[in-house]
Amino acid sequence: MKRVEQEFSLHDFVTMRIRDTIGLSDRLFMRPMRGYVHHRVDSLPAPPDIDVRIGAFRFADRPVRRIDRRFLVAEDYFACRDTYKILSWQVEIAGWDSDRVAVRIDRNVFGTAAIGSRIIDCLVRYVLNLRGCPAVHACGVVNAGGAYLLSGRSGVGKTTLAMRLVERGCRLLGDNWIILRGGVAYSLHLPVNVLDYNVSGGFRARMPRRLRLDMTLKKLARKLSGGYLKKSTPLVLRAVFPDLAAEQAPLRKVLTFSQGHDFRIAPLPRRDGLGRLLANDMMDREAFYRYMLAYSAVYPDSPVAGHWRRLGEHLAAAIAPEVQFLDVVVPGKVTPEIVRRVAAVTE
Amino acid sequence: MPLERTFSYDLHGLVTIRLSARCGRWRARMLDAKLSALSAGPAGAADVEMHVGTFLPEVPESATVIDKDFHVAPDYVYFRGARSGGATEVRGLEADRTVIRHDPYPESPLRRITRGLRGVNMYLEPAIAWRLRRLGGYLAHAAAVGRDGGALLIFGTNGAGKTRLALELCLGHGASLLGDDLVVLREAEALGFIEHPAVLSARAAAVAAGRAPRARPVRVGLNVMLRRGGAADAPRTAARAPIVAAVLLERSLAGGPATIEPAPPEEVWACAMALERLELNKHQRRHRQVTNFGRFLMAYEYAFPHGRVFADMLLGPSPMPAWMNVPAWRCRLGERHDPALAGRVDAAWRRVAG
Repeated sequence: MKRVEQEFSLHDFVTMRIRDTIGLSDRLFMRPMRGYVHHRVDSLPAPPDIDVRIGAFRFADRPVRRIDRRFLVAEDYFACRDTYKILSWQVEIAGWDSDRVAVRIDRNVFGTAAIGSRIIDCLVRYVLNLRGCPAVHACGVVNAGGAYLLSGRSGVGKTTLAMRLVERGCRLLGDNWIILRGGVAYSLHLPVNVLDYNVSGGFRARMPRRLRLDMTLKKLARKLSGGYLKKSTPLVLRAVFPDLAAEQAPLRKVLTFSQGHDFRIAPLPRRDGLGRLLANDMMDREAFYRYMLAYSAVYPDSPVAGHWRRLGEHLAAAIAPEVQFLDVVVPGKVTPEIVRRVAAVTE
Repeated sequence: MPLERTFSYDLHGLVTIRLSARCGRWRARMLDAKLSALSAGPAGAADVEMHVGTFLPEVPESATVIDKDFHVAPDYVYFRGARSGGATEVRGLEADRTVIRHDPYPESPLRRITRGLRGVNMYLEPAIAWRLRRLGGYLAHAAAVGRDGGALLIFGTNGAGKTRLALELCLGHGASLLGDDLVVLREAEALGFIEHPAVLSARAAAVAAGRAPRARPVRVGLNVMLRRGGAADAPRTAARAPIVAAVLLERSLAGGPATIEPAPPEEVWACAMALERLELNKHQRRHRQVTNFGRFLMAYEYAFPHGRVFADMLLGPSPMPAWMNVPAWRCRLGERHDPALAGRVDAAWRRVAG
């Protein structure tokens, strides 16, 4: 077991430090730190905004209240033990009402895969929102100096379209989340989750052999299990295609995706577009959002409780009135015709 | 082939409810356990209708698919469930009549006894709550007990001890029960939402014996199906009473006796509304198989943004109505049950209500 400590800085908006112990079993699953490797820094000038410690611990001795029989809530403190299928973890968050958040996480072997996306990502987005930089669930591409967001629910085709646009010459701002601030879109480069159908021939040929093999094996597992085991290959852009990763660009257009019968691109009023971005954020099924709801049931005036209302306000402030919202309806598969039409819009 | 059985109810003249199910006699009795103590409603169309059983969805051509599972069209949401059930269609979220069709979820072999009950709890309650909001009322997850002077509302999360406190006040201190799980709050009055007498008498018997009244859904379902417990065991109930006081229960891990301290009613109301939002988002369990009503609202908001339903029920905060400005207390309970708590709450309530 090796102790590892890494520090990350997201465009200097939010800084984070993760301390973890790496064992043999962790090499099989994605370590949480690998997710933020693009934003890694060697040292931080000040204490980090988010301090994550992963390892065994006991809940602190505070006068807690029990909510919904499983969450423990106290002033500026939250703790619970949670499970999802075979993943199980124990989390304690202190200070999410104030400036510095200290998180302790303990998990079982399978839970390593859970805590990265379920807890640390959501916490980072929450703290970003606290600091006035809302994070949007969208793919971003940069073309001719302007950023275009492809936002929508998972499974609608954002990553596929973003990858196709990158093959056509755009640069990728981010695959999962994009930070917005003052009319500029900043990257949040988590590893791109590519499946075999996301990337086409030319791009795939440029990918390293190890990742190609990984994609093929996962495609096989998906076909054999009848679609149950849907696993994606994490592609760290900085390591594989450093010239295709963009850092920031002024925001031009926001495309909101949904699935429907026929392909259609139509302009969307600004009010509706902002409402869609907010609903997009609320629809995530993550356990962390239940934690926030449980905490706000005891402290309804805290910053945690006002998170979504504040997210709406920050989005309205960060997206300039000149930014155009478009409503894109995509039928099931992403065809070359659709790619061409979307590319025409993101010129 | 089982018959289609229909039950019609009238919630204090505010909302008419109709529940129909294509199932056996006993299962139908169990499914309407929560509503069966309401007064009988008019036959024919009702404000909120729910049908439990397999159905063929009529998804409009122009429906958008949100989040792979929700098919959304104007005033229509359809959730495509898992392989063997869970599909739910909600028609008329913003219209005059809400019609919900639900195919019961696949459950483990033991929970198959209460097949359909989870869906009724998850979808019918928020639909009634939404309808009440449009009439200016609230359906709160609270217990309410009444006396001549007025009603005491007991707010709290699941497992805080609302039912236990309410039943202790009824059995030991002469109050009458307005509701132990749900209560309708409207225009300074607490309107009762009583459950099936079998369920109530089972809970009252448990509280009288000093045990917690919580029972597993399977046991509750069995009690109702077999009609165990007569009217003699059930506590005295009332229909409505004016609201005079409110209590917020919190359960902490520390031991020791319960503490009661006065709190501003705005705080108690804000916590109660935040708990309602938690309840709305609660049931999400298996990935993409079991969903909750909150996600229906979010999917509808994604497709047609700025709907009233979303803003009212999901985004906070709800302002406190003027008639909730009553004396309120915050009660911190320990892990162990404190038998003296009912007496202290009763004394405080008497001082206010007389």
